[in-house]
Amino acid sequence: MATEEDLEYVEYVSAALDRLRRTAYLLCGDGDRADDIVQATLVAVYLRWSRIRTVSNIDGYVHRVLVRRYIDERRAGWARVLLAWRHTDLPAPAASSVEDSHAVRDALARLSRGQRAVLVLRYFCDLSVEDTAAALGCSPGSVKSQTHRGLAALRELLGDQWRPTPQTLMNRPRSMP
Amino acid sequence: MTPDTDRVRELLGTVDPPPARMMATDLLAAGRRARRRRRQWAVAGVAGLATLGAGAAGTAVSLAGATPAPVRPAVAASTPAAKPAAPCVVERLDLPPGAKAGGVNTGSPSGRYLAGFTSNASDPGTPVRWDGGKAQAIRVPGTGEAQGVNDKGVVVGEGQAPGGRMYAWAYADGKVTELRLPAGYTGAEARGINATGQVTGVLFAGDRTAAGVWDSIGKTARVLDAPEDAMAFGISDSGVVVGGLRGGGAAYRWDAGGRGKALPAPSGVTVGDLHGVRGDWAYGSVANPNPDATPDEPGGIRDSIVAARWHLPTGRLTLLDGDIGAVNPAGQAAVSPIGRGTATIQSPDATKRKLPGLAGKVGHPYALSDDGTRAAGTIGDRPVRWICR
Repeated sequence: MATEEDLEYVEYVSAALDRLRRTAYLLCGDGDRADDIVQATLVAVYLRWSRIRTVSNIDGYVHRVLVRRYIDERRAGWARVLLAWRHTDLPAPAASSVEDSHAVRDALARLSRGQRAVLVLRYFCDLSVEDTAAALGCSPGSVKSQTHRGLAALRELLGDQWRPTPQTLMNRPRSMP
Repeated sequence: MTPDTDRVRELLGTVDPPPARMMATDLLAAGRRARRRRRQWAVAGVAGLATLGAGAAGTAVSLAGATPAPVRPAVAASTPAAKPAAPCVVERLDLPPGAKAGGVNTGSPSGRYLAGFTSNASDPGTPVRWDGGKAQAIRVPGTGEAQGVNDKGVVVGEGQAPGGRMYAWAYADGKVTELRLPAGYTGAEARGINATGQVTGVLFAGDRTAAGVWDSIGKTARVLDAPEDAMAFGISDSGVVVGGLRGGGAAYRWDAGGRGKALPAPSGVTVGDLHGVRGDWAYGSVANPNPDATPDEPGGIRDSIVAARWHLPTGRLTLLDGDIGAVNPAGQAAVSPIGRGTATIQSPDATKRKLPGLAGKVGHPYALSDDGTRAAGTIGDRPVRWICR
């Protein structure tokens, strides 16, 4: 028997699930583990739903919980996270499409754990330098350093694919269908 | 906003996870099950909560024999058991010419040498060593950071060559040397060096890892024995190596002969990794024995992983709020707060000395001298040191 709160929760989760799964997958690089992190996050959210449903920035709160779940898992099993991504014998990045998500995923896999985490937290989750440092338990200086290194490494790994397409540039001023 | 950051946002958006194996209604069902479990647990767990509350003074638990649940001493930080000493004085460290930012990752036991990294807009990471506060860049192929330094000023660290390969390096007598890998290994990170020049770190072989020790800079690493993939993060002067097993949940240490064993965990605690060792003391993290007792709330998420300090000969374990960045042979720990707060040096008797921030920013210490009078780390994007008299 669903209560009104339960219905609200289902509505919220239906809208947020895709974004949360994408974030977790970018962070950990493994579909099953990403789903475990998302499930742990959303169960925690359910347990506090009666209190947090009225919070003005629910998305921000839920993202923090998700990052915290990932961090907790990372600290407990640092190597698992590292290894999930560290494929040293990857095939050369596909040259077919600049939007080839496999090429981006493979490039992410070659970044160090710290570089990947700061790029995802800062540029996919839109966390500030300070919030990223707090989430990762490192200093803001380290976040900046890792961001620089991560961006430089990603540029180099993606080569020509890094350059924005004309469509990208057109997309910026006005949204395209 | 730069074109680079716009582009990375766009690229990250192209990565699709595998198809979902859960729907909102599944999560609702999982949430309801968890709520039922928690209600049952809450009835059974009242005694456990009382134990947590009683541990305010900084209780340690023995790993041998019957073990009570460990506690979080710093919960009662507002009522410290001992009178705090005078605050330490913080000062910024110099940066090498051209560097705009940087940080200290580690320091030598005497406090003379510090090591870390610097960066600027065109140079994402260069290892650096400070000798008595004077900075010197260490030129390694690609980018890198220093992760260990001893009282002779020998520095070790990790580097990332163009193309992404990770390698371990050492800097001694003005020269950078790449550390040699055993057959079958493809990359490495050096994470610590001791007084005799032994270096420890992580060896990579495809998607596998091993803990390794280089007995000297010119030698090939020997692989430390472990029941599964392992990683090493620190080495004591007597050659004891600390780290963790790949699967997580098991802190691991190896004696000077390379024989490894897991640190036993008290009941209710999952032991994580050991991050470093100095003298008889090691530090790392354990899973909070009772994360449900500190539920996540908007604006106040609590860690379910807490910092831990071990006295290795006795197995005594103390849990602290925050992140431990370094320990010394007296058992003092340099501790960063989680989020807001003040960094501290915390002694085994729970005495605390504050390590002040700068301009409203919190300090993060990653080095602590053996005599406890010098710490170093990072505030904002600048390397700093603290002097405590």
